[in-house]
Amino acid sequence: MDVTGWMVAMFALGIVSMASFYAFLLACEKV
Amino acid sequence: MMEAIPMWLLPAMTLVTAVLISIPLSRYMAWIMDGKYRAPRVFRWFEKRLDSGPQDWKQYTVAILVFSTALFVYGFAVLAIQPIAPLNPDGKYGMLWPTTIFNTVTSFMTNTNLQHYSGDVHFSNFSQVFFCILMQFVSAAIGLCALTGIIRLFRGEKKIGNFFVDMWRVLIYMFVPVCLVIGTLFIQSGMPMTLETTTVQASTLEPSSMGTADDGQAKPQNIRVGPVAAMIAIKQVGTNGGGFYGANAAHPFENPNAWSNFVTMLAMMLFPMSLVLMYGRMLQKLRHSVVIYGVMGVMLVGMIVFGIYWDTMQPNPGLTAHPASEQFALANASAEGGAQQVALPAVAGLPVDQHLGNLESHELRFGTSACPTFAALTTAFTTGAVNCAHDSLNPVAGLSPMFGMWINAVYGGKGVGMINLLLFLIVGVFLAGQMVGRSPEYLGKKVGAREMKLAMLALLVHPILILMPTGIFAATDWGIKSESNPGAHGFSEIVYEFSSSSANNGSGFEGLGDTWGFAANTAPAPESSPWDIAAGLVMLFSRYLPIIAPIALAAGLGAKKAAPFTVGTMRDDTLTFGGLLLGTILIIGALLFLPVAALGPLAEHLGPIPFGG
Repeated sequence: MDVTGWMVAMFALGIVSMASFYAFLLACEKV
Repeated sequence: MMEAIPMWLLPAMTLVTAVLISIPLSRYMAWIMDGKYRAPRVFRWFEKRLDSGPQDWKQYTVAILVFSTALFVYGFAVLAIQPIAPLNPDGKYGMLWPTTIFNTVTSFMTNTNLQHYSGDVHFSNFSQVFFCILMQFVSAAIGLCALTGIIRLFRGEKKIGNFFVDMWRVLIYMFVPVCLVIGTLFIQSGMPMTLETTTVQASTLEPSSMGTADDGQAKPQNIRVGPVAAMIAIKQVGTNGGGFYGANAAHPFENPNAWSNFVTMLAMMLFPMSLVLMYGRMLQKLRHSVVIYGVMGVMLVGMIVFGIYWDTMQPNPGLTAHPASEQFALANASAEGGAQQVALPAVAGLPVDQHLGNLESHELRFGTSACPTFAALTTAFTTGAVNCAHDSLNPVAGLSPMFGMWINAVYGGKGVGMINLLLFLIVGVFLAGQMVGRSPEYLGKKVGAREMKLAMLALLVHPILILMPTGIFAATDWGIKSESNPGAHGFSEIVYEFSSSSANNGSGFEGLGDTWGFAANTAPAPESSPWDIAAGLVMLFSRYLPIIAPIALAAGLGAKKAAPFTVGTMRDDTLTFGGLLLGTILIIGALLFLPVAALGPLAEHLGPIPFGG
């Protein structure tokens, strides 16, 4: 994978991680 | 005897000064966060525009997440455009490798400031100002806002204020004025402060250590300068830890003398200590917060005394443990017979005067005990700045900073340290209730199954995010090929890295090959990308999960009706309660990490090859 590919992958990894915290928040609400 | 006085004077003076300042500062912080101040007109104008209305706990938490996501996007963009951004003469500072950008952005947005790069080598002044300094201000404020939200929930409020107004209050009325004072003291002590991208030339002690010019003259060392004092002020005040220089607070321009070292240590203690008392003031339970303050203080003093005893009062075992001629067999599958013969360091047996303790990689200009004292403080307060190489602490002394990161509530970072302690507190109250057969209560409200589930969930995130990746990296080439020392010391390097990431601390034991550098680098450390990604994910998950779950816990607990205080109610402002809290922290928090302590620092201390040979 070239530099551009790595940039896109790392950016997406950060955004997906942040989105998963919102899912965690919803799960905590249901506990 | 005379040598012992300054050795203990430094930590004693620092602790006493921090305690004295934390009392009025906590009163001021409670006053600000309760909105009792009257702001100047220009500030009120900003506050009105930031105030999107009162938020419930879920809206407040979503605001934290949205703001943090914006920080990620912003930080990623700033580092990506570094080659074409201003303050980068000759385009000297290129773009970092993408995994390093990911690691660095997650590191700074989570208040960790773990650095898989060297600030003076890889960052232009544009990135230092618009990435490092800005992120260090706002990321530090997030934890404090989260704690404020929890306090309001405990008070039974359904609408807990507005996250953006709270963020403004923390930044403008707390961090900025304190940083102006601390930054001025730093400039006065000799730290550089300029936006010019320039260097200072220095003559090295060994004349040709930087090479020789064509005319045969020794080359001077060129040392980069920039907005160092501004950055170091918020680096310490915000318990961030990300340094302008790769050597962090061991660099003469980032920590010029014993005075700046004292101010540096003091600056990182002010807000975390004050926050505990602010908690009590805002809940009108000051005696309760004093007990918590005392428990944290006992652990902090223990860490400092332990570190000084094993590092400053003991010689370096790498020099004294065995004669130089002695060799040891070290397991190595690729060596003949499955073991390789390893000699102790070449300097073993030399008549080195060690009456001042371990001197390896220590900066004696700060004082003999400055290294273990700073190591204990920087990990207790989750700052992550270092004024010596923690890799060079005597093996068992390395346990002191590790303990601080494992507990992560010895005052801890701003807000999050107190939040972590509340989790231990909820569990302790529950255990005490079970032992005496009464329904557990905190702040007069019954602790039920929901609160326990959320508390344990948040508590277990930390050990899981340290132990699992440590196991994976210690068993694979990702870890084995990155260690600079074999055996137990190498294992300590791995466990320290993940402890630092998960505690959002940011200090490095060092010794790991985890730097890629600029994207154009053709010879990076081979395993740097796995380290970047793994540590980045650990920092993210260990930051937000232990903030979200406690807010949800506080929302449920705060909404309950308070039971009347009776003779059977467990008091939360007594020495007994303090003992219960301390016992809970040590049993639940520390014992989880006993196996890795045994495999790393303790095995190295008891084994034949200090520092891995």
